[in-house]
Amino acid sequence: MRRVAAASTALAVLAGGASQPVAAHAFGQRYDLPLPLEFFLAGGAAVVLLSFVVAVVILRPASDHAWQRVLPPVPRWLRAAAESTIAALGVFLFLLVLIAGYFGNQESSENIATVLVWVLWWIGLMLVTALIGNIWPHLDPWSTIWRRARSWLGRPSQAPVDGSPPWGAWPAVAMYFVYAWLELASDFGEVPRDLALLVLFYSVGAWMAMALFGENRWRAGADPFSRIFGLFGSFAPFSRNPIGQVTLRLPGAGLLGNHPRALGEIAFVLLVLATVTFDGISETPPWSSAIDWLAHSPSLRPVLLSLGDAGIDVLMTANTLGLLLTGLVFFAVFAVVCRLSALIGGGVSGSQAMRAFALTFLPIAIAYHAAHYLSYLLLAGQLAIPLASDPFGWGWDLFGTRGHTIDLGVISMKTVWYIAVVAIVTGHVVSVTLAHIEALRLFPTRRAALLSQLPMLVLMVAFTSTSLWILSQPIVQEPG
Amino acid sequence: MGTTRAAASILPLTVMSAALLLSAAARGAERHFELNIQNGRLAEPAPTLKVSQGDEVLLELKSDRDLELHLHGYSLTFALAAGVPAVWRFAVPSSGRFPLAVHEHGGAHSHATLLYLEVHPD
Repeated sequence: MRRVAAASTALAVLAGGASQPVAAHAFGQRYDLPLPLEFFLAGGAAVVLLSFVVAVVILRPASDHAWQRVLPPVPRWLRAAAESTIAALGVFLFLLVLIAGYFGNQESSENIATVLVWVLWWIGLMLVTALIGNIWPHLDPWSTIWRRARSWLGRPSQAPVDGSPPWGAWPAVAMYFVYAWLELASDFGEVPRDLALLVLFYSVGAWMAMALFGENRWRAGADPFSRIFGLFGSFAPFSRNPIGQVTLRLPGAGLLGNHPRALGEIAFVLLVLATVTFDGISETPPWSSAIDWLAHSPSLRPVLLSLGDAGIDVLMTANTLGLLLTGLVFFAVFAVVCRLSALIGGGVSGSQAMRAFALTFLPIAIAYHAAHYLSYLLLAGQLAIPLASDPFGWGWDLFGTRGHTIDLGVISMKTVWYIAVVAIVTGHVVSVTLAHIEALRLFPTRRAALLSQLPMLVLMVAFTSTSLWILSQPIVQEPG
Repeated sequence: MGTTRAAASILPLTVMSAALLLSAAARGAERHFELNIQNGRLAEPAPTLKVSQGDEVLLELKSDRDLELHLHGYSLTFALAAGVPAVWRFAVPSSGRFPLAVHEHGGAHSHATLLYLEVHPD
């Protein structure tokens, strides 16, 4: 997760022998074994083979209505009760993060704030959102508090405003980048008090934006969290249609035709894909060697030393550059492949192709994310058990579960390997299928659609193989 | 015909050796490693020790400084005095890749990965 890559000698070299003060227990450490060669090869072979199967099988244009069922209506009172319970839970957990983070034990694994935010919310809820459905619009504490405050002040509730907010999705892109940087390159969010302050800072910003632009425009446009939960939720099998009915659809079907409209929205999707990938890359031995090389490079040494004086160590510098570079490479490669695809298919522009295909890559990223974090979620998630009894790390024992220690045996690595490979191959097949359906809708003839998919297919195989490769690498991390 | 007979004679053998392997795995082998820690490290980059799930790991340790070792994941700690050989023995019932970190005392507090312990599933 964070604070990864072992450039310990490099750090020592730059620190001039003085060592880094660090917490005694690593938070966000994963204990996954590298995927064995036979799993890697079997997964890779299945990916290539199934890509061709999909290409050949999906020759007829899919109907405009993907398989979808409206579920029996939920009684109005039950729906209202569920929604207000979720909203109240969101506000309760939000306040808990602020209070526990600020006043509680400052050891990250002994404070519920860090576990709630990084493990349960960011990884746990994100996977639940992708695999089941999106409850974030109801859970979102910033919206709930905003609406409550307005009604207490006697202001009318705001009607949804159409049209995108100023600057489109770019504020969300910028904020998501900062957030990803906090998570992957810096270690600011790991100290509970810093985390509480960051959350508070974000809250003030969010409420100011709601006051200036309106709650709906903030949420629909600039808020990175509503956007990313919305994105993962559009993959999910359960959703709400515009008239509020709960519907069931095939996983991924919700991504079809749900095109990003502007460049900023495409950039957001690609940034999400890039951060998910960089999260993994930053724990691999080649990345660790790259950092070592960077730290020992004579020409960069003065720069790194002066950065070090400013409190930015070589790890943070490298991960910042890596994150930025991965984002730019993803965007450039995707743009080139879309342009190629448009040229081959004919009749459309490169940016039309980018809009049509951006979301089709999401299933690969979701599958990789799930494979990458499955065991982490099951192990670090157990921290919630003692912390439920002792949320502030002060030695309370509210429910008698304070003594629970993490059970490493909760899942075997062999199970993780099977689930990882099956998930990644499935994600790939869904992505390739979606891209083919989009191509059949976009290009004038079936032949054009099929040919247009050659570059896209190559890119998808490359993206999936990268995911598999990352999982086959031994995790190298500097325990915090 | 011939192949069937050969298969028939191999089969019990395979079953027997599989059973032997299984019982060996169930009992858990004792895995022995000698580690001579210099300056709080073994090698650069940190080496990886591979064992099987259910094994018992036996580390014969020697260090030129006072150290505290911490096996992450399993959350085991072991104090090591400078120049005094010591044996650290523990069972590894769960699979995974676990960093063994060094916490150094005296003066500045330092922290580094000494080695990775990979516990492979059966």
